[in-house]
Amino acid sequence: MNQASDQPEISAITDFLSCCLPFDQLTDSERNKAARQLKIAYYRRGHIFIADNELERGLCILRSGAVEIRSPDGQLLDRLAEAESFNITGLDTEHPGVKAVLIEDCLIYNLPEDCYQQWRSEHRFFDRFFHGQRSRRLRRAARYEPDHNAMMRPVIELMSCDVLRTSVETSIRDTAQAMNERRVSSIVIMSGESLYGIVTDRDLRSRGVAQGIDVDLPITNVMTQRPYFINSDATVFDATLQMTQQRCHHLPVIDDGCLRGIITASDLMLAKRDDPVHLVQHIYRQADVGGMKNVVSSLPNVMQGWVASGVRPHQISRILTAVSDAIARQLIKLAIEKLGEPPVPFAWLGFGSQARAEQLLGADQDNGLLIDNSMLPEHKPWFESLAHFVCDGLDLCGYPYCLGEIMATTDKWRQTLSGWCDAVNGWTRAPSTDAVMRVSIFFDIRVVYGSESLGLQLQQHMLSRTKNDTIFLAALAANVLSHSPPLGIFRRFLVERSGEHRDSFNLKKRGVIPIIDMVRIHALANNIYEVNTRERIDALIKCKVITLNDGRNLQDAFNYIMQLRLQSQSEQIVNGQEVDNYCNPEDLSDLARQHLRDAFTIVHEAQEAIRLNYRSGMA
Amino acid sequence: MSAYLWAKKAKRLWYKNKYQYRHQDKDPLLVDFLTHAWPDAGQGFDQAPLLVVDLETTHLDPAKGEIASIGWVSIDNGQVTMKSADYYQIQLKQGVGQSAIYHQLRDDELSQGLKIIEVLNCFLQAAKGRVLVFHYAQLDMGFLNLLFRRVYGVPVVAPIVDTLLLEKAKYLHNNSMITAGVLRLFSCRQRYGLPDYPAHNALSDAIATAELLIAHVAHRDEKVKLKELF
Repeated sequence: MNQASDQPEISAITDFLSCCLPFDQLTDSERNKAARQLKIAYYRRGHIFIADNELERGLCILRSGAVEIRSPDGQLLDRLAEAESFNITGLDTEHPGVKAVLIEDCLIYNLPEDCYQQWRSEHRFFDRFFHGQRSRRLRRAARYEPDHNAMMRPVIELMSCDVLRTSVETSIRDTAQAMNERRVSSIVIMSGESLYGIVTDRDLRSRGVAQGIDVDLPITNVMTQRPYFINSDATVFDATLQMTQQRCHHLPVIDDGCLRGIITASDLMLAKRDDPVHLVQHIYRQADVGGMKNVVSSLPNVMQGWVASGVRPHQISRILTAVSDAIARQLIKLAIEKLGEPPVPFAWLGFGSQARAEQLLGADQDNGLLIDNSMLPEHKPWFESLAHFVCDGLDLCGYPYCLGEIMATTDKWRQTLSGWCDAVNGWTRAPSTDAVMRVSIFFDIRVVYGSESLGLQLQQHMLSRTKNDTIFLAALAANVLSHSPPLGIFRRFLVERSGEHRDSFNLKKRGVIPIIDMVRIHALANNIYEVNTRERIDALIKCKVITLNDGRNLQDAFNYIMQLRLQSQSEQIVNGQEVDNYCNPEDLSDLARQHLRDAFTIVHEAQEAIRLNYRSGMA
Repeated sequence: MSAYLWAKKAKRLWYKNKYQYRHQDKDPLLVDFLTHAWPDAGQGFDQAPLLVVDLETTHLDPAKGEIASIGWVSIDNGQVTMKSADYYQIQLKQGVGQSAIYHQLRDDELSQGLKIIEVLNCFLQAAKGRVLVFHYAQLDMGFLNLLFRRVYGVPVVAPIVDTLLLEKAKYLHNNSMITAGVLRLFSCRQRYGLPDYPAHNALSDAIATAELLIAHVAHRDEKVKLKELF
C-alpha cells in the first residue's frame, strides 16, 4: 500500500463521509477528493451561523453535536444531528434571515461554498438531494407559520358584527335585560346612526348597582360617553395594545363614523391559540364532542412549539394533563345536561399519569367512578350511561380506550366508596404479583370532577392499609424490579432485537415507569398523599425516607428521561410520524447518550435500594 | 514578543549560521525552513499558521527505534485544512518489531515506503513558518531532532504547542489528580465530545490532535493568543 505522495487516503474522514447523504453515492476516489476539500472547525454550544458570515459559508456537515435551524423570529424549522448537513446561504435565500443555532458543542466539516456549488453542478443526484431537502424544510416551516402571525390578523376577522344596540332613551333596567337575554357583556348606545356611548357589565355594576341608582332612569346615566374605538384594518396587536393602555375590555370597530362591530378582550385571547390557558378555556366553550375534538387536534403542533421554545418537561406534562382534565370535565358536564342531575354525589377519578399530572401525547385513558355509599340500585344505569358517554368522548378526542380496561365503563372500576374499600382490602390481603401489577396505577389517584371528600376518604383508607403491610409492599417491589433500565454489562444500551422497534428501547417502560413505580412504593409505605412524582420525591426527602442527594438525583434522572421522551415525540410530530415512546440510542448525540446512561444508572441504583428495603430476605 | 519565541529565534539563528558555515547553502529547503518568518506571539490563534504532526515509531526510545510513518495537517484561520493533509511511510532499516501490532504496518509494506530524505524535503516545505503541534511533543520531537541531527547536523527549531501539556494543565486546574489514561489523545477528545476515530495511523492521529486543539481553544473563554499556548 504505497501512497502516492500527493494523494494520501484520509480514511478517518472518508469513512465518515460514506455514512453521510449524499456523499455515500460518490465513488471512493471522488469521496477522497471531497474529503481533501474540507475544513474542520469546532464551535461551542450557543454559536449562531448566519448567512452574512463569509468564513462560515458552504456546506456544513455535522461530525458531532447538534444544530437547530430557526427562522428569524425563533421558530424551529429543523433539528440536525451527526452526519446531517446544512447550507446557511442556501437556506437564507429561501428563508431570509434564517439562522443555525448550535445546541451542543459541534465539530463541523465545512465544504467551502465554491466546492459545494461545483459538486452540485457536476452531479445531478447531489444537486437533487439538497434541492429536495430544502423544500421539505420549507413545507415543515409552513405548517408552523400561523401561530406567530396571529397577532397580525386584522380585527375584522375576529370582531362580532352582530352588535347589540340601543337608543339613548332606553332605561337601565331594559338595557340590562336585553344584555342578559343575549348573554353579552356590552351594549352600544346609538344616537341615530352614530355611536354615542357604550355600557359594559362593569359600568352597570360600578355606576349603577354600587351607587344605588334608580333602574328606570335612562341608560345615559351609567354609560361611557365617546368610548375609545378602533378601525377595522387595525391588527390584533393594535387592539391588544390599545386595550392594555386604555384599560378597557371592549372596543367598538368603526370605519368612517359607521359602527362595524365590536371586539372584546376575550376575542383577542381566543386568537392566541397556542396559549395553554386559552386552549383549556376553548375546551370549556365547546358544546359537543366534535368541537372538543377540533380543539385538541391542534395539540401535537402546539406541544411541539412548547418543546421548541424550551418549556420544561414537567410543565408541559402538567399542561397536557390540564387539557385532558378539561376534556373529561366538559364531557361530564355535557353528559349531565343530557342525563339530568346526578342522583347521588360522585367523583370522577383519574389514575396513573393523569392523576400524577404527567401525561404526554398518546396517553390512553385510565379512569374510574367513585360513587357515594348512598347509591340505590335504580341509580346504577345513570352512572353507567355517564361512564359510557365520557369514555367514548375521550376516545374520540384522542385518548384511546385503556387496553387493561381500567375505565369507568368496567363494573370493577365503577363502584361505591365501600365497594372500592373492599377492593383495596382484597388486593392488600392476598397480593399476587400479577394482580399487583394490574392495580398498581390505581394507587396514583386524583379526583378530576366531583366530590373531593369522597376521593380523600378512599385515599385515606388505601394508605392506612398499605402503610405497614410488608407482604403487599414486597409484592409491589417485585413488580418494580421487573422493569429494569436497558443497561447491559459495561453500561451498554440494551435494545429490542427485532420487530418494529428494532435497535430502540422504550423510554417510558424502561426509564419513566421504573422511577414512578419506585417513588410510588415509597409513598405508599410512608403515608404520603402526593401523587405527582416530583412532589412525592420532595415529600420523601422531607420525611427523610430518602436522602436529599438521592432524591435530587432521581428527580434529575426523571426529568432528563421525560425531556428525551418529549423531544423525540416532538421530532416525530415534525416528521409527520406516529407518536410513540421508543428511542434509538444511535439517534442521540454522544453527550445525550452519556446523560441517558447516567440517568439509567441512577435508576438502577435506586432499584437496588428498593430490593434491600422491601424484599430483603426474598429471592 | 514572548520570551519563548525570542529564545527560539536566537537558537534558530545560531543553528542557521552554523549550518551555513559548514555546508554553505547545500540544502536550500533547510535554509528556507531556518529563515522563514514565524507568526507573532501576540497573534490570535485564529490567524496563526500551525502544522499538526504525528509520528508512528518502531520503539518508544529514539535511540533504539525508527520513524515508520509520519502524517501532518495544517491549521489556518482556526480551521483544520484537509487539503494540507499528508502522510508518508518511510523505508525502515530495522524490522518493525513489536509495534506492528499497534500500527498494523508490516515490514513488506514499509520497505516500499519513501526514502527518509524525500519525506524530510516535504516536511521542510510544509513546516516552514509554522508553529508545530504534537500530542506529547517530547516523544515525537525526540525522534525528529535525532533524525535532523543525523541528516542536517542541526535539530528542528520551531515554536511548539503540546496538546498533552495544555490538557494536563487544564485537567489539573479542574481536578486534583491525574489518573491513568486521562491525558491520552482519545480520552482528551472525549471530554470535548469529539468522535472516536480508528486509532493509530499517523495522519488520522494528526487530524485527531488538530481537532483536539481547536476544541481546546474554543473552550477557553476569551480569544486565545498564540503565546498562551506555548
